[in-house]
Amino acid sequence: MTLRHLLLLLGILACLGPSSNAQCDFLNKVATFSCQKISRESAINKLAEEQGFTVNYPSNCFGDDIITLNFSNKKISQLIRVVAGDNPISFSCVGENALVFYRNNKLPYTLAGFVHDNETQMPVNGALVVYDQHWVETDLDGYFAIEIFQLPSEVIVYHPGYDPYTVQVKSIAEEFDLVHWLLEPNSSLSAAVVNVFDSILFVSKTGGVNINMKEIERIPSIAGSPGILNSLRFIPGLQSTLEVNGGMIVRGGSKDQNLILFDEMELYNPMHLFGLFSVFGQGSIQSIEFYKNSYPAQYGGRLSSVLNVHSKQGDYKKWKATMDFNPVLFEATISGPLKKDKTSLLISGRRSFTDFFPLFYEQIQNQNQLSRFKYFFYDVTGTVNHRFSDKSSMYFTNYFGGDKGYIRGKKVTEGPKPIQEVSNDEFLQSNVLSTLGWKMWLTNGFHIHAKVGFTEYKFNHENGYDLTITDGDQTYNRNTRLTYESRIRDWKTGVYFKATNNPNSLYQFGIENVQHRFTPSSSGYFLQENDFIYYDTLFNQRRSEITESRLFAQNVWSKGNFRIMSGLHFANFDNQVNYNTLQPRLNVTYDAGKKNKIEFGFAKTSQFILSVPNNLLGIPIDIWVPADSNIKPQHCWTYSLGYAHKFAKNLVFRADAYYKRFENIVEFRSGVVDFVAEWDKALLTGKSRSAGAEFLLKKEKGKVNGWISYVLSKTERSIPELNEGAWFPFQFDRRHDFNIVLNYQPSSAITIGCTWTYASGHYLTTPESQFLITAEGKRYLIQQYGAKNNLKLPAYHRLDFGIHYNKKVGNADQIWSFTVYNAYNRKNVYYVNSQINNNGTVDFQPISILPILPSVNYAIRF
Amino acid sequence: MPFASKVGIYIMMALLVFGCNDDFVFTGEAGERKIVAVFFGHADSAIQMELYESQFITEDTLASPISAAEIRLYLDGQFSESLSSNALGIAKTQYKVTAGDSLRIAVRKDGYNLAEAKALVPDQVDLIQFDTTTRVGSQLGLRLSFVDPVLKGNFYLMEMHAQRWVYELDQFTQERIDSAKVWESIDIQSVNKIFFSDKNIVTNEQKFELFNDQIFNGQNFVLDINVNAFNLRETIGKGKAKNIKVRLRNINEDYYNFLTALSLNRPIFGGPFSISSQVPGNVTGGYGIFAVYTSSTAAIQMK
Repeated sequence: MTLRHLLLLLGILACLGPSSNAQCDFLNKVATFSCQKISRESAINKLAEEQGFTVNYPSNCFGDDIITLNFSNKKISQLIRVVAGDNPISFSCVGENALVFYRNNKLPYTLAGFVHDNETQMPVNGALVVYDQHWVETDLDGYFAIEIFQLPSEVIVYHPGYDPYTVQVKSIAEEFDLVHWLLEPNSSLSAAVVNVFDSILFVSKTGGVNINMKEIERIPSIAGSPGILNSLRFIPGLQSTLEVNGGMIVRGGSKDQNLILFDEMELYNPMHLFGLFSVFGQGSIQSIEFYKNSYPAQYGGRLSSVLNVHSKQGDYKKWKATMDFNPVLFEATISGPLKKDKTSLLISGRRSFTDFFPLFYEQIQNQNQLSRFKYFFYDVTGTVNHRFSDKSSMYFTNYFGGDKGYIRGKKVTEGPKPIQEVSNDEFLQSNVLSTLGWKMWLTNGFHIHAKVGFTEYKFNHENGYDLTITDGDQTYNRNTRLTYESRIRDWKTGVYFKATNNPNSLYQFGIENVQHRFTPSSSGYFLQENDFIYYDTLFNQRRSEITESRLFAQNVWSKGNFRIMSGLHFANFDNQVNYNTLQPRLNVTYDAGKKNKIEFGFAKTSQFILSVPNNLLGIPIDIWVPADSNIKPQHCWTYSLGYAHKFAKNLVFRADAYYKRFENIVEFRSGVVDFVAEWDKALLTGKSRSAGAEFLLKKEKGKVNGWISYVLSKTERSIPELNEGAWFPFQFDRRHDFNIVLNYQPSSAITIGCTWTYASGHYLTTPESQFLITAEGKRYLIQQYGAKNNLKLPAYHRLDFGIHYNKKVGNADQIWSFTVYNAYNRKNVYYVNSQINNNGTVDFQPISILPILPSVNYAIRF
Repeated sequence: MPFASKVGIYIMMALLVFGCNDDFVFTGEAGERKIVAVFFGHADSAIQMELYESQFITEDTLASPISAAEIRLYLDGQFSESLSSNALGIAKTQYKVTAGDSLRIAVRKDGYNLAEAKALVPDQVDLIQFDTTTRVGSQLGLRLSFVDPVLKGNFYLMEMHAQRWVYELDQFTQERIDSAKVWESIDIQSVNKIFFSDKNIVTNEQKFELFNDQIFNGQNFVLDINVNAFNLRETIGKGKAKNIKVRLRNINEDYYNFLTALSLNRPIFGGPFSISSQVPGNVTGGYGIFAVYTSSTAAIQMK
């Protein structure tokens, strides 16, 4: 028998457990034992001989100690422990009176495995696995690894929505074993679970926060449709840019400085309908992580934050469906097993009714003077998850979605020569994303994740005009097409490793390769008369293929009250110039008792691509372009310090202070006309700095719960070519940002939500001089702009209400939601329009976009 | 319903309708008065200059001309001539614009920053074809062609004029009495959707079309345009158009950007959906534009 087989046998024997085996009743027998100046090995032999059991043990497992013992009326099991002393020895009972000793050199050992939902077999993400004073969270796969210091031990798993799950760990699992624990769903929040969450997770995870999807769902939103990204603005430090053309502003960063990932793949345009709706449907999201402090070394490519959205896995047990209706959109989700317990499928889709409901965008039309057009958006998410074995699984995620607007016309002029004119003017803004990944847990705590993914964002515009003239037997045709396209496409491959079998340490390392293809602008022109094609051309402007390589390594070390995350992220980007950056990350957390927590974070981040706003077609689009020899990569250094305190009555307070320094941030040069073809000449680079303090007071349970947050911050920029290099305010430098989120649950069926947000107004650049000029026979009034961001707009504030009513009818759960957006009809200034009066003076008129918007949402879930 | 409840409801309704909305007052920010310099130079002609003072944003006074300003013209880096603006702020060079010349003008006047502008006179481009093609409904199709110079960015402005008699009616006989033959600018619209590409921004003016050679550099370029035949018909006091003349101008890049920005420029701050486009000039230290161009003209006679 080889040593490996012997160990395996010993492991199996160990699983039987020394204290629970009925064959080892003699261990509970009370005995008296004494010995003088003998070795421990001799002592155990003496004890076995006196009490009539046999022992087997590896050589030298008891050490060379000489001991003297004298005990009476002790259980034999206790006597054995005494004789073994501090030696790392465990034993198992074989047969009725035989004990096998083995070196217990695995303690502390790493207990690892998965936590799944017992009904659906779906992984339970974010469950707390608690052992003694230690705890870990399950990841997206429901995976956890925790150190066990002694046996037997009790481990308890908590998660809101499930019964607490208690496990007696009596023996060291075999090296390659992973445990599989199944939690029983329980819709009512048990006090025990909530208490555990309050006491352990009362602040946040290292460097970031897990977004609670239940909380997000309760926040009133426009048209009653849960707006995942829109609701994030209530988190301290995260603001939206504007109501329309929205984007996230995180601690003084631009909206293109946020890394938005869907199943670890970049999503370049996260919003529908000019920023009013997020591209993620509620039915397709499992969890969201958000990092703004010191984000893990794995992530790179953006300066200010990481929003990591994970798709939901399908049900492994039975088929389920949900449907949501509201005046704006319809959402449906279907989920179930393709092969029971092995393969699951989830498909979730949304489609807006905005093209059937023109009143919805009447405001935008009137004020933007867009032509009358139809507009709708859609998205579909599909995920397939397959478990090859207990230790290996794969996933395949697909997403596609877009916004389409169009004007179509057909005109027929009757007469001796009938004329038919067909015109079509349409645009499509779309995302396509696909990821195929494979995960394997090789040993306890060693995890490999490999994936290949594709993501594409593109904007297409097509303008067509077809003319047909019929003259007797002859027909004249003229077909004209103009197309415009802007696109970014990435192929990403990556391999990631995790190793947790070193006590107190989690190692993570990996490599990523991203193949970018930028096509900032591509124009096509087609002209055909009858059978003769005059033009059929396509012009690509500055298309480039660029490789970005990333390498990272990170260690999370915990000891006592300290938890230290340290890592390095290396990135290489080669476009005209070969750029290399090394980005250190650090996060130190100190738990001062169960009620206080202090956190320090540092991160350097670099960004090689940026988006250039463009409106040449009258439609707001972002055109992504790479850094090159003119526009250098942007860098940011973030320092943060946080303190959290848990008060009585479940009140949690958290305060964070941060300072950020940016390098090579960009602003537009004055007098820019063509942003696309000459984008690198149109941009100016400079520096920026941002400092702020964030405060959060949160009550998580009770009939009334919610939070209040306040942020005091200042962000400035300096560009040598603007304002003579003087510091000027960032466009979204909102000095004060105050949010209240309140939920009231009078019964299990009714939830009432209310939010109020207040933010200092953002800045605009206004003209300061003007002159009349005559050019080409016409007089123009030309206004010359003054200092950058020289006008501060009035404060933004808004009150939203929502009532959710749940009712169970048969097997279905029905949810009615009534929401009122902007309840007191605040006319928040979106932009300022100037008009020249008859007397020649100029009037400035603030324009707001969204008035009070009441709506109803109906959801049914089978 | 009790009176107090009614009042309460009215107050709530008023709140809902009007909200907590601030009065927004924008007074404008006082800037610095600068020289506005407008220089126009056509091939084989003198450079016409006009100088006046910029206004603050909320002012409605007439612009003040800048007289007795010292103006210096440099040709290919060498001083060429010196002149001074008159009481109306106007001046004219002795120099006649020539294709390929590199020009610089500096304007100095006490109390203002030194204003300077540079321009390179574009190449001469000749029209080689100008024909009528189709007539669809009220639209008259026209086609013209020219050869674009190779290896050089060229920026074009195309305009069209119709020639017609201006007449009066005899008050007794109601017969037409022609008084003068005039050329009038007429609206044109390009059928060629090439003008909608990102490098060729369609103008709203319709009196002219702007485009560049980004996508036909060095080629014999054929351009289709439409004219509304209504513009050529007889109207009160004006006879039917007899001739149509098209003028193709090769303009300097700064002027192209200036005119393009004028077509895009809307005095909107912050939106909608985008940043405002500022009209770019090429006068440093002041405002304004230095425009130079060459041109070629072709005409056809209408049936």
